[in-house]
Amino acid sequence: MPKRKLIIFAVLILLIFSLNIFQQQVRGFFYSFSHPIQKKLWGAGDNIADFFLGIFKKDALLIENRELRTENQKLLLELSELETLKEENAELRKALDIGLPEDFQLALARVIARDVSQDLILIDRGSADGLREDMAIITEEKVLLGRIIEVNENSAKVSLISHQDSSFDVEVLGKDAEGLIVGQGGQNIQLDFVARDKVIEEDDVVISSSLGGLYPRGLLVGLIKEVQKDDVEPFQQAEVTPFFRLRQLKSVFIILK
Amino acid sequence: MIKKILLLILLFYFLILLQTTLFFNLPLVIIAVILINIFYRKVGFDTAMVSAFVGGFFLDIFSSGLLGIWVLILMAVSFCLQLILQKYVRPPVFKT
Repeated sequence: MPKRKLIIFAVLILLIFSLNIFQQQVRGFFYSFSHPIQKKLWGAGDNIADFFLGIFKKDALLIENRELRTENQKLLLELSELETLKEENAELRKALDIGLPEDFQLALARVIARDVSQDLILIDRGSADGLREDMAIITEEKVLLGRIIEVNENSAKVSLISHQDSSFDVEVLGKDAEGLIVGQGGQNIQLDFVARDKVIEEDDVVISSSLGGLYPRGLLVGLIKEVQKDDVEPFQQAEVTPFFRLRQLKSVFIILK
Repeated sequence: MIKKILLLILLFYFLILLQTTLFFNLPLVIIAVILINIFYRKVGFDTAMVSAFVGGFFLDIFSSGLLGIWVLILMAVSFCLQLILQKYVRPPVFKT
């Protein structure tokens, strides 16, 4: 490689490294005009993913379909029981004259892209809409997604709970057990630091706790998949399947207050 | 060369948009840079290095790390690939 070309490339690399001073503005500039295209492509993602899934996972889909039918029947049964409970609940509420206040003040945003790095997504609201760093992001089913780590004028970067730098306090629903959810990357999370004497089992629901002050209490996090208990270790760990499905995410809510 | 650079910028911008939306489990940009390197005899050494630079730049923009890291990685990989391919790989010669 001639010396002249080598110098040109070296200068260009230095120039790019110097852009780190205005990192946020540079990225914001590119994000601002990529928004509309990314939004459309993200929307089209479902169809393409479904198409390929249908080709490569035909057998698995058939089994899943059968299982879902069985589950659907079970859920219908539960639904009818819940309807009765709902009516009962409404009557009791009326009698006691209480109304649940709005849980949070929310703002709606759309997912526009996924970051090249793992477990980060981009949403189409930014500082212009009143977003700030560390605000929690949830789905419409109250499933915890993560928190804002970077805010541009019209977009924001969200670090998912599965991001390797993410950890926060949680509790296991109905089990009086507390622990820490640690992101493992690749949309995987692990429950750690659960006292050994607490009994946690497969399919237990993990919800956020307000202990660390990072997220409000009661947001859905995931289902326990496998518990790892060792007689020597003072704490037990568990693999947790997060409730969110990245591919199916279209819109999310930001907890403003 | 300017026309080539503009084409590469467009190609890699398109690829990075696809990678961050539709195919987020596929490292499209990296694959493209490696493919361009493999066909260096057709595209030339300069084009291979420029493609690594442009590809790395877009990966840097659409990731959350330090700007310039991907440029450095891809250019280093391209440079090594070029050395290996030029020294140790010969195109097949067909006798008629």
